[in-house]
Amino acid sequence: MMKPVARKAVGINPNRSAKAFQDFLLGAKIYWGSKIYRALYEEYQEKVARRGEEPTTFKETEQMMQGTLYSFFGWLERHIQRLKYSDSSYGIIAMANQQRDELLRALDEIQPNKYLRLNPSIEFPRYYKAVDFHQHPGGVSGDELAGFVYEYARKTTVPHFVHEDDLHFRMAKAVPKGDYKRILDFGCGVGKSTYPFKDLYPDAEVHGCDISAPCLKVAHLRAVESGREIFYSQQNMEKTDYPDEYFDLVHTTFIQHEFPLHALEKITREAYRILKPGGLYVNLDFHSAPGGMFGKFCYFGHAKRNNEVFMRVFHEFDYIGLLKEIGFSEAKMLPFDDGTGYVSQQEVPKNWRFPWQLFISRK
Amino acid sequence: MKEQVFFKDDAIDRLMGVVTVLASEVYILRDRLKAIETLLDKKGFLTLEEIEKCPSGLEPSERDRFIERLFDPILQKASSRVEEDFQID
Repeated sequence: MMKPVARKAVGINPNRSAKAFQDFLLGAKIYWGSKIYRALYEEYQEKVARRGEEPTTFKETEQMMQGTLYSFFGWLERHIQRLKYSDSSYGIIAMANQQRDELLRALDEIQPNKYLRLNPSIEFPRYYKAVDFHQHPGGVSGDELAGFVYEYARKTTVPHFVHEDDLHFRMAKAVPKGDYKRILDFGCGVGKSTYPFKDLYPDAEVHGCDISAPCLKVAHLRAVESGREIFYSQQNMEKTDYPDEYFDLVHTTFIQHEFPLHALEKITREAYRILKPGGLYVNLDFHSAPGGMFGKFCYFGHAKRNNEVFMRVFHEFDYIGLLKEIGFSEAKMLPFDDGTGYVSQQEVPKNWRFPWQLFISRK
Repeated sequence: MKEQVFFKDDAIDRLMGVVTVLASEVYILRDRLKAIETLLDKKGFLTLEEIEKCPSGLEPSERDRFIERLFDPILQKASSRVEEDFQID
């Protein structure tokens, strides 16, 4: 273990009003995801009862649900998230800008070293540059402070009574125990999923890679602050510079749904290449939304309202089929409890939630 | 790029934006006022620095009550009742 650096953690530190504003949005999101969501489900059931049959496509369901309640549902889902990032006074981007000099100074102090390899000439794929995923203006590479912005925004991604950090530990604990000597957090972002694996397997050599330098800098900063020895590097997941059969365990956390299928296939093949024979490939992601057509209606609608342009593509894709085709000997999709206790694969969830699934595949 | 529209008349989309920001400002004011009241009660005087640092804030339950009052009209539940055979047009 490295020696933790004794200093105040640098990050977005909102003033009292901005904190209250973000808290207001969190409350609004919880209300939207419980009371309004449930009222929408009641309306769905009533409309289905009147028609005498369930709709069979998203489009048909949207047409059936047209009305005042669905308008409010959609508006709130889109705009609570928009305000969270983009409110001109208290949005996270505004907060970051108010602290820009201080945050940039902290980033300037980080020089590439053996724990942080950056590649300033990296080329971003078109699909990565073209979309502001989850309404993050400029995306997670568009600004030097984007890593801090994303780190703060993640706090309220899963508001329904789930602590955001806890989710990553749950995922790490759900992975079958093993003698993992080298572990990779593939598409690690700000490192939230890297840390629990380092904590569970302290003797393992733990790596994280991502295409976003601003995110990697924050991941590295937090690793240094907490005394965790983690090797981060800036790479395109489609083609990395890790040797063949280098890792015992490669894992991803909600990133598969951000890729078009041609990229997903390359990334899955790359994971296979860098895994040792017998090594595990683990993906915590969203797939097979429970709750029949209503579940799909909410999830595909979320994709549209939150700029998640490949979310539905991944949902409708036979990912297990791809894993097997590439050569993984075992590939299964398991239910994942996000902390709400809900793991059903069938019923409509009581509160709005992502359709978590844990994919575990063995090379 | 144009923002997505959710209501039949996009005036409602715009108005919702105005109302939500206004409501958030009310919430922020409530939070600050509670801090001021706490400090006034305790010390009898206050400074801006003290308001900023005061650890007392709105509890999640207070937040949720506020949000419920604000958004319950969306659910359009009647607060009073007239039985069906007594209803008038």
